[in-house]
Amino acid sequence: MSETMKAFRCWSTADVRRTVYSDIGALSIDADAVFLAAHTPMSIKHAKGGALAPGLSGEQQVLSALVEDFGDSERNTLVAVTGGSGAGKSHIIRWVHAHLRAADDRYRILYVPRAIQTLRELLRRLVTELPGVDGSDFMKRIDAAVGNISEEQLADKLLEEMRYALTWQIEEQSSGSGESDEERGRREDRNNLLGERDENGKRRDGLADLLALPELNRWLLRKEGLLREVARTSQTESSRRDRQHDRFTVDDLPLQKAQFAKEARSRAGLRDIHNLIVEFPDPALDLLGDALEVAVPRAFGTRSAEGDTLESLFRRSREALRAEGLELVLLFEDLAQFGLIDGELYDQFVIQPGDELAPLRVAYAVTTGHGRIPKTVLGRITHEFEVDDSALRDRPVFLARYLNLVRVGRENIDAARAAAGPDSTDWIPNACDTREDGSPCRFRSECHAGFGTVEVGGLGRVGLFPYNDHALQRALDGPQARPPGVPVTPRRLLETVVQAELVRADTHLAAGDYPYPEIKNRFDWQQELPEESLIGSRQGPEAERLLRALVLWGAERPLPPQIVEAFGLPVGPKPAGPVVPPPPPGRRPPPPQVPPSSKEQTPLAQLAPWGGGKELPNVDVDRYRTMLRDMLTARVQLDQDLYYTERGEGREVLNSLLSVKSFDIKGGYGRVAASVNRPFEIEQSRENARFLFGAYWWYIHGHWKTDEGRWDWPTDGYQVGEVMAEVEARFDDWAEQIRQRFKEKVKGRGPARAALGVRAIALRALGVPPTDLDGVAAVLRHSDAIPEQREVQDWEPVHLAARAVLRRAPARDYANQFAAVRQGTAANPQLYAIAELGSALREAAESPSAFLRATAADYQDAAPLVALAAKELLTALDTGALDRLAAAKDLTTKLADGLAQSDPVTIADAAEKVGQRAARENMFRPADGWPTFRQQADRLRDLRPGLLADLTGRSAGNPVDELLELRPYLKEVMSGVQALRYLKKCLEDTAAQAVRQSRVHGDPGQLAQVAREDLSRVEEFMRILVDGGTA
Amino acid sequence: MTDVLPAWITVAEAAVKQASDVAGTRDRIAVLGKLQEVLDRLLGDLPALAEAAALGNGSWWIGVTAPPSLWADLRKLQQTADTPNENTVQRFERELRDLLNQQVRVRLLERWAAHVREVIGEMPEAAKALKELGGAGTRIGNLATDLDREVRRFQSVGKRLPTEADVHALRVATETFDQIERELPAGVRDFVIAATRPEGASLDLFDGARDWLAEQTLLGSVRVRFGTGAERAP
Repeated sequence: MSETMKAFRCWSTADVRRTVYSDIGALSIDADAVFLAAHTPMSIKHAKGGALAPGLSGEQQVLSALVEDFGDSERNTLVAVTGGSGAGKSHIIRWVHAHLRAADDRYRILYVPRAIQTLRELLRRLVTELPGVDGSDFMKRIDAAVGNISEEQLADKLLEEMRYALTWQIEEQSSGSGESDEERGRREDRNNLLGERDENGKRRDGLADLLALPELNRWLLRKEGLLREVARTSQTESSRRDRQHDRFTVDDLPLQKAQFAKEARSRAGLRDIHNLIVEFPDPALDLLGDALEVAVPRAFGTRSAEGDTLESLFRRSREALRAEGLELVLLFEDLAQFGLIDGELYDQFVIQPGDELAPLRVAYAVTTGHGRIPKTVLGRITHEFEVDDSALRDRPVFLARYLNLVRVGRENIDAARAAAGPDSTDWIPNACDTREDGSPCRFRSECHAGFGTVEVGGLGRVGLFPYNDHALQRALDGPQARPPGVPVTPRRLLETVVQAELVRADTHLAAGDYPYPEIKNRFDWQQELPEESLIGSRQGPEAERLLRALVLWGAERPLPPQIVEAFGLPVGPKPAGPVVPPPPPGRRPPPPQVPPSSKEQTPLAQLAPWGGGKELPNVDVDRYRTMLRDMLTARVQLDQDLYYTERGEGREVLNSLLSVKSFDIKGGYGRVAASVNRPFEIEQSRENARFLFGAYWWYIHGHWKTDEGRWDWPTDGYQVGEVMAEVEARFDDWAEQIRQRFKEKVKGRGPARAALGVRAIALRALGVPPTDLDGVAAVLRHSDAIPEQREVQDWEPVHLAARAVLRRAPARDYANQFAAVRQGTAANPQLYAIAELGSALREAAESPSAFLRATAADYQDAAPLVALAAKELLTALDTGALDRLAAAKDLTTKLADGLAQSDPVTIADAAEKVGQRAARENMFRPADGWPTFRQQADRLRDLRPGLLADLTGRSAGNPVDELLELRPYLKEVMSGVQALRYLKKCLEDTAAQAVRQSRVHGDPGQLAQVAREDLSRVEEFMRILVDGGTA
Repeated sequence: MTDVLPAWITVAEAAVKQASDVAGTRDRIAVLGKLQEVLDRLLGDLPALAEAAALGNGSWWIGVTAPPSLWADLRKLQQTADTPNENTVQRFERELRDLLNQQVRVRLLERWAAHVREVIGEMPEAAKALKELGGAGTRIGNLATDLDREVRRFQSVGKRLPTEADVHALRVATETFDQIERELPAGVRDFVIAATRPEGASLDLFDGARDWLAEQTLLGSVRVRFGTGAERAP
C-alpha cells in the first residue's frame, strides 16, 4: 500500500449530523434524497383489510392499499400504519409520499410531515395546501386569535373557554341501554360535576365554578400544565410526538394543596364536588378533557360562527376536486400532531364522497394505543398495517445503508437524486465505489478485506469500516444499543451505533486512540482469554487499546493487518500475543516458544464435546471460521491461473466466494447468510473435531511439532501424520472448489474482456477517434482525462455515463487482475493475454450496442461494476438515440450546405480576405469581432480534408452503433459548422454595414456650388468692412 | 470540390468594395458640410455689420485692415470649393471671426458714436431751453419739442450698431434744428444758444433778443440771475 489507512475516515462528524436523522420529524421536507438513501425496505403485518398483490415490501403494500381504490368515487380509503414509538411508521408514510407522483392527474396530495410541530403551522399547511380553496381568511383569524398574545394569555383564554363550555354548552349524559353499574356511576359523577342549572340555564356550583377558584385556576395555568403546553404548541415549536393523549391527568389537579381544599370547602356548593374529585378524580379529568376539546377551536379560532372553518374548507376543496373528477390524497406522518383539532379531521374521514365530494385516500401513521381515534373512524379503516422491528431483522444491512449515506454526504446524495430524476430506482451511489470523484475509494480493496462488507440490495457491497462483523455485533449487543428493559428500535440503533459511534470514531481515529477506553461500556464487552495471551506482557494505554481492538474487532484472534494499520495499533516488536502479520500461503510463522508450565487449555476441550453433539461456544465458532477463511484463502493461489487476488476486484470476487460465512459449522451459532452460495458444511463429528483441531494447530503454530505447541497434542487417536494429511486434503479439495467457483464467477477472462470492450466504447462515446484506439495497449493506455467536448451538444448524459465507465470499470485493473502474467504477488503485470482481449475489442468495435448489452446481462455477478457501467452507458446511448442521430446528420448537412461544395480552406481564405478589407475600412461587424473571425477562419482551415466524404454514407443499421460511428467526427463537424456560422454571420453583418456606408446623402457638386456662392457673399461683406474694400 | 464561393462571401465582397469606393465621396461631403456650416454661421453675423458699415461708408466708416492670410484663405477656399481643406475652413472661420468681433464691431460702435456726437453738438441743450422759452403751443416750442424727441434716441449711442432708422433720426434732428435756427432772429438764436451754456448769456446778447421776446410775449419766461459767469445756469 503506497498510502496508509492510518487515521483514515470516509465520513466526517458534519456528514453524520447532516445525514443521519434518527427522528424523521427532524428531517426537512425537501430531504427526500437523504430519506430514500437511508430507507430500508420494511416488512410489516397487514392486520386489517383485503388481500393485496403478493411479493410487495411493507411500504409497497401501504402504497398499494392507498391507491387500489383510485377511480372508485363512492367511498374513501383509510390506511392506518400503527406501531410503537420509533418503529418506523412515519418512514413508511414518507416513503409513500416520495413515491406518489405529484403530477398525477388523478389526484391532489396534501402531505403533512411530522417536521411541522406547531398547531398554527399545521393549520397553515392544511389550508394552504388544500386544493381549490383560499384559506387566507381562515388563517388570518387563527393568527389573530393566537398570533399576538402570550402563551400565558392563550392558556387563560383556553381556561375561560372551558369554563364557558362547562357552564353553558356541555350537556348532561343520559343513560344508555345496557349501561353497567360502573358506567352508570361514572355518568352520574360526570353529571354531578357539571352542577345545577339556575333559572337562566346557567350551571352553578359545578366544575366551572371550581375552575374559578384561585388555587385551581393558578394550578391549571402553571407552566408545566397541559393548558400551557397546548398554548405553546400552537405558537412555538414543541415536540409532542410521543405524547399520546392531550388529556388531563391527576397531576393537573392540586389535590394535595391545602389552599385548594380550603377554597373549595369555603363554598358550600363546591364542597361536595371537591370531595368527589379528591376521591374519584377520573370523571373530573374526563370532563375537563371534554371541555378542552370544545374550548380549543373557540380559543384558536378554528371554529367560528362566521367565516370558514376547517370543515367548510375541506368540504369546498372536496367539492372543487370532485367537479374536476379528482381525488384527494391525505398523508399524515403522525396523526398525534393534530391533537385537539383532530375532530375536524376525523369528521372528514367518515364523510363519504356521495355525489358532490371527492373521495379521500388517507394514509396516516399513529402510535399504537393512541386513544383518541373515535370508533366511527376506526370502523372505517380500510387497511391497517402494524410495524414491528422488521427493519432490524437484518441489522447490518439496515446500518450499512446509513454508513453509506454518511460517506456519500448530504450534497452528493442530493445531487445524485436530482441528476437521476424521480423515477430512477438505482440512483443511490455506493461511497466505496464512487467517493473519490466517482472513482472507488483508494482503500476499498484493503478496507473491504480487513473490515468486511455487507451486501445491500441496490447498492452492492458496502464496507463496514470502522466496524467489522464482530465489532458491529458487539456494538449492537452493547448496553447503549440494547439497554436492559427497553425495546430495541431502529431509532435507538441509529442513535447509538451510527450517530454516536461514528462521531466518536471520527474524533478518536483522528487522534490515534481508537478504540477509545469508554468503548468497553458502549459495546458488548466479553473477554474470555486472559490479557496476557492476548497482548503478552504489554502494558500501558496502547496495550489497553490493542486489547480493546483484539476483543471487540478480533474476537480475541489476530487482527487483520488492515485493521492494525487503520487503527494504528502497536504491532512493532512485541513481547507476545496474537497480533501477527498475515501468514504466508497456508502457513503461519512459528510462534514464540512457550515453556511447558504456561501451556494453554487445548481447543479439544470444546471441540471434542462439539464432535460428540454439544454446541460450540460462539467465540470458538468465530475463531475457527476465521482460521478456515485465512488458511483457505492462502491455499487458493489463483495467480497460477493469471488471476490477481491480492487486492482490487479479484480480491473482492474472492471475498465474495470465501469469507468466514462460507463455513457452516454445525452446532454453532451464526447462520450462514443466504447470499453465501454452497457453504462448506462442517458437520458435528469426531473426524471434523480432529480436522478443526489439526487445522487450528497449524494455523497457530505453523508446524507439526507436537511437543512445541501452546497446548498439549492429544494422545488418543490423533496421529500427527493422519491429521496433517487430513488437513492438507481437505484444504486442497476446498481450494480447488474455490478456484472453480472463482473461474465460473468471473467467466474466465470475461471481466477483463468486458471492461476493455466497454472502455473502448466509452472512449469512442467521448469522441476519441478509432485511430487512437487501435489495439489493446492503445485502449488501456489512453488517458482518461478527455476534455469535455461541449460543442457536441445533447451528449452530456452519454458523456457522464462514459466517464463513469472509465472511473468505475477500470479496464486496466481488470486486465491486470484477470488477464495478466505477473511475478509473485506483485501488482504490475508483465504480459497481457492479448489474443483474448483483442477479440473483445473487435467485438466491441463491430457492434458496440450488442457488446454493452451482453456485458450488462452477463457480468452482473462476475464484474458488477462493469455490468452496471455498461448498462448505464447503453441506456444513456439508447435514450434519445434517434434524436441524437438526427441531430448529428443535421449537423453534417449544415456543414455540407455551409461549404457549398467548396473546400474549407478556400472558404476560409476568401472570407478572411473580405473581412480584412472591411476591417481596414472600419466597416467590419461586429466592430470588435475581427480577431475571433480570424480564429474561426483558422478552425475552418483545420477541418480534415475529406471529412464530409467520410461522413456520408455511414449506416450501421442500429442507431446506437451508427451514433458511435459518427461520434468521433462530431466535434470536428460541429467545430466546422460553428466556424462557418460565425464567419457567415460576421460577413452578413459586415455587408449590411457596407451597404449602409455606401449610401451618400447629398451631391458634392451641388454642395460645392452653394459653398462657392456663400464664399462670394462673404467676400462682398468683407469688402464693405475692410479698408478700401480690397484684399 | 469547386472554387465557387458561397453567396454570403461574394455578396459581402461586393458590398465592401462598393462601400470602400464611396468612402472618399462621403469624406468630401463631410468637409463640404462643415464648410457650409461655417459659412452659415458667418453669414448670420456679417449682414448686420455690413449694413452698419454701409451707413457710414464714405463718411464716418473707413473700414479696418484685414490680415493678408484671411484673404488668402478666402481665395483658396473659393478656388478649391469642390474639395475644400478642412484645416483651411477652420482657420478661415477663426481669423474672420476674430476680425469681426475684435475690430469691425468695436470700431463700428466707436465711430458711429463719435459721428452722432459731432452732428448733434448742443442740440439737446438748445431744445430744452427753447421748450422752456417757447412754451407749449408756440411754433418754437413745438419745434423744440420735436428736436428734443429726436436727440433723445441717441442717449445710448455706442451700445448697438446703427441702423437706417438711426441715420434717419439724426437727419431729422439736424433738419429740425436748422429750421429752429431759421425761425429765430440771429440775436435771439445767439442769446438762446449762449444761455444754454454753463456760463450763461451776457446782458449784451439779451439786448438783441429782448424785442423779439417782447413781440412774442415771452419776456415773462426769462429770469435774470447774477453770477460770475463761471457757474452753471440753473
